[in-house]
Amino acid sequence: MASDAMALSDRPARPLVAGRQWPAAIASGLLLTAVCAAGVAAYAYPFLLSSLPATTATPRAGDAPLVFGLVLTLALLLFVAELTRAGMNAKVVSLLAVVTVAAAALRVPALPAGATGFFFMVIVAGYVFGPRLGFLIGSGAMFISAFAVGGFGPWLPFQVFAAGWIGMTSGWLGAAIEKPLRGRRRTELWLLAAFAGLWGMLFGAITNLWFWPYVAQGDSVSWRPGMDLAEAVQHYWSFYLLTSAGWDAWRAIGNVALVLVAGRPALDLLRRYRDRFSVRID
Amino acid sequence: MATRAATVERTGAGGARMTAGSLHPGAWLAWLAGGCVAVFLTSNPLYLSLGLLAAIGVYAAVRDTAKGRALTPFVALGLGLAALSVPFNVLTGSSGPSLLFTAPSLTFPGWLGNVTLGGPVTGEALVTATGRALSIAALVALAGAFNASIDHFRLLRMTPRALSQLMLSLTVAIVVVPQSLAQAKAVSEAQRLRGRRSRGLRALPGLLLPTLHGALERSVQRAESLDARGFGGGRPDTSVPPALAGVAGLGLCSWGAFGHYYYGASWLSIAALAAGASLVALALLQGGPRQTSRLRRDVWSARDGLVVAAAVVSVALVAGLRLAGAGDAAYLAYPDVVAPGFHAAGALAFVLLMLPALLHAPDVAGSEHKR
Repeated sequence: MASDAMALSDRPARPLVAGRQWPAAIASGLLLTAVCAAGVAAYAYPFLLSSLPATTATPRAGDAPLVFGLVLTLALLLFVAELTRAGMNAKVVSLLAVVTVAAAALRVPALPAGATGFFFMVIVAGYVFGPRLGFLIGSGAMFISAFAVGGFGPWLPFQVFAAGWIGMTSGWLGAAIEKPLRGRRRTELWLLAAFAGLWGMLFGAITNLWFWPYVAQGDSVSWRPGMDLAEAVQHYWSFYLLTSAGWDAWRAIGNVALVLVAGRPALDLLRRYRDRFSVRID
Repeated sequence: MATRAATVERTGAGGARMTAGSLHPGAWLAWLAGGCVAVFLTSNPLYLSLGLLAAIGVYAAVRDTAKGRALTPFVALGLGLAALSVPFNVLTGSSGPSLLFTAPSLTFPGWLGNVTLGGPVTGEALVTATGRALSIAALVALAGAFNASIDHFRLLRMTPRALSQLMLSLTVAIVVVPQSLAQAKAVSEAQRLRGRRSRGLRALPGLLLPTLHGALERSVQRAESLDARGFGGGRPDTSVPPALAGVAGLGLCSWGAFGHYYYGASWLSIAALAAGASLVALALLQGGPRQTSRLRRDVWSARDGLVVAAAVVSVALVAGLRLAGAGDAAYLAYPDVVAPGFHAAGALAFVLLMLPALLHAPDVAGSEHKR
């Protein structure tokens, strides 16, 4: 993550081993990867545990969301702590607050069905400011907006982590295509729109996974101990289509439309402030 | 009482916040966590009904504030979804011997997952689905009561040291909400003066971008004033051991979680979960910059202690029933639906969750200012 568009701190992180810088960056990256892997495993437990012997399994009895919710919460806290461990400078604190509140505020006036401006803002901001700030913006905005929509409950850590991933992957997308596509703005915008549409569907698919074994009880959509992975995937697919796909499709369409309508001026605006904030006079 | 509280609040006796009003956010958090754990740990519809009643009772006691009223539609939506889960679960495939009736059925094509909607509906499926709906509704009501009563500034101040800088940023974010709303209003008024009348999606860029522009402009100034006051001037705490301990704890916790289901529940897996979680908590409390001083401290009163104790006892009772196999805490409607068993300890566990309804009092007028 050394290629972040904006460094969180003016200070170089203190190296793990006295001497060169890069071991600290590598250690931090390994740490983040390990924590992220634990988070992914906590989301994907219905699939990872799908081939359980039928006798030992109790996830359907209801404590699995609890246990994996705990694992996920811890992973989320560690991830955020590690992202901000080197400290944040005043510019980042101030910028983060403004972009976070913009994204959080956009979650409230809902467009038709599942569509909101929240995802648009997180994706565009992550794209411009890089994966680290992108994760902090996505997760922070989801957390803040939970106060406004009564979203503080057992589902919150799952939503917050997923929203952070949206910002982080947008940052990766920005790192990958922003420079090569510098002269070709139309292509850039369409790629970003497709990315936003994809996340519109994916966000629902990811955040429904944790409660699926708990909520779904019908035989053709439920999780059962001893089912194999293929069957688990098929049942989840049916569950997703019946419950969430329509809602998510609206969200995906809304995301694409917002990126196409407002993406270019928003990118310009955020890039201008990225440049203003990155000025350093030493 | 209210007058005295207001006076103390204004004079700020010893920096203490008068707590005649709302409970400590830590107590609320413990209550929410305890309630959710208790609900997740049982599948007995009798206990779950009590849990739903307790949660709705607390919600009814705390909801009559501006914030609580604003949240009403979200709670109603959640309860509606919980009710909808019953027909959903019954119609997506029921099994079991006691057939109630047969609904007309419809099979989706293969790429839609071969689901059959409708068909036979059994008593077992109906009882299971109702139990689930009760627990979802109870979770929604628990969350509704927590959200309606919590003061987010006080909650954010409870964050562990390792996250303090991020929380500072989030606190700034909440503080700039009124500014941003005022700016958005000014922008939309200016546009109406110019005769612009677009609505819906097309109006959004015209409103969003100028508002964001103004907010970013102010954020430059805020950053400069933070810098001028020496923000972040201290030595960064980049000590590695807490971070490593945290990751080790997380690994232990994950191992415990997956082991719990792969090899069956055992004391070893539960101990791994608990030890891992404590290690992570310790790492989060140890890492990060030195704590800053506080102007006002939240006072922890005896009422808060009572609420936490009730939450702990409630979880212990349900967990104890499950471990002892008593009182049908892990009720299953299969293979044949029978009436669930009942134990007074299970009932007591959920009745105890009512406690905040008795102990909570809304904040005294004028004390909800930003601190």
